[in-house]
Amino acid sequence: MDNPNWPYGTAKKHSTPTVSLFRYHPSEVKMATRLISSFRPDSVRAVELLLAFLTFAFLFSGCATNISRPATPNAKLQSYKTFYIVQSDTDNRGISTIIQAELTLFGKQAYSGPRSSIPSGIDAIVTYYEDWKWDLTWYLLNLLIQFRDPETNVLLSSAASYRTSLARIDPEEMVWEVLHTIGFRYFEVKGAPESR
Amino acid sequence: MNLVRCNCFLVGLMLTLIGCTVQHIPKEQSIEPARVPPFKVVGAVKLRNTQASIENIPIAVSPFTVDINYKNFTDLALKLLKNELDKRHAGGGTNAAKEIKLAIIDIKMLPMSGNFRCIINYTVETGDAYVRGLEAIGASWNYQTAIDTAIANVAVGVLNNERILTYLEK
Repeated sequence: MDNPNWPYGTAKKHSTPTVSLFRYHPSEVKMATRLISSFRPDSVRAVELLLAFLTFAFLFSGCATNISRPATPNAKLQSYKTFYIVQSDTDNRGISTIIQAELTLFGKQAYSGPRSSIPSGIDAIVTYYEDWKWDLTWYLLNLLIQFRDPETNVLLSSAASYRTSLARIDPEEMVWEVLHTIGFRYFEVKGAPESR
Repeated sequence: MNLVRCNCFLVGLMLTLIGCTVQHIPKEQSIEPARVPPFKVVGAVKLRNTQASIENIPIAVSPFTVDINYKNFTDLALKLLKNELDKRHAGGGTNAAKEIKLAIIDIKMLPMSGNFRCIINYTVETGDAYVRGLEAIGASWNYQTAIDTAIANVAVGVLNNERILTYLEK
């Protein structure tokens, strides 16, 4: 308080002792007080609402799912009988086997194996991309299934499913979901259920 | 800003962001010379975009929807292809004896763990009736770069196809 270099005098000369305590000029304190008081309750509420919105968006972004539509809806594909699923190099959870089983449920003849041993007489080749993620347990985040012409490798049809942790389903259901999006239906098979 | 205005703003923000559709105009990416094998082009080559659809296709890029245009994307891939052919002194023009037809027919965006993977399927056809379906992939932490990289890889894919190179060198 008795600092000789203090330019604003001593506490005794001012009515507000806090001024000298924080070493600010009274006009500066007045400005700061005005500034603090300008934060009205509405503004505080707005910040609260924005935070609530961000929390909401953050929490529920985990529920996001989307299924992209088939790129080239191909009516002929449903009439094809035999399919060959080319095993992905990264597939160590048997997605190719699941696709094979699901296509069989749709009444198709399906085989799977490496690209090097594609048999002749196949109507379409099936390729796929799958991405797994860990959240307490492993779940299938992404699945893209593509149907290709065996001779030219031209894409006939494709669809993908993207399911985040909270919307996770079994790989079997996800495969069914993608094949269903492409256009495969159980009703083409006698005695099969209409949905999975 | 009073409370009512603030609430209206937030509701508007929520409605805008949820299901928001944006359009991506691809940017031209340069192709590293090492990614294209050495080859020479004999004669002029005509490049043709055979993608007939001009409509914008919505693709899901969670949490947004991105409108993409297969025809415009094919145009860009052809431009990159032309740049590479020009480096090999290949002339163009409508009377060229050789022809390469290109069409991007499918684009899928897979949000992976921490990045996006863009998968482009396209067909390429040469003047001697060779047709092939090929695939190009681009990966990046943002979807725009993933798409742009995949488009550049379309041109790279064409120029790495042995059958097409043989056709160009004939």
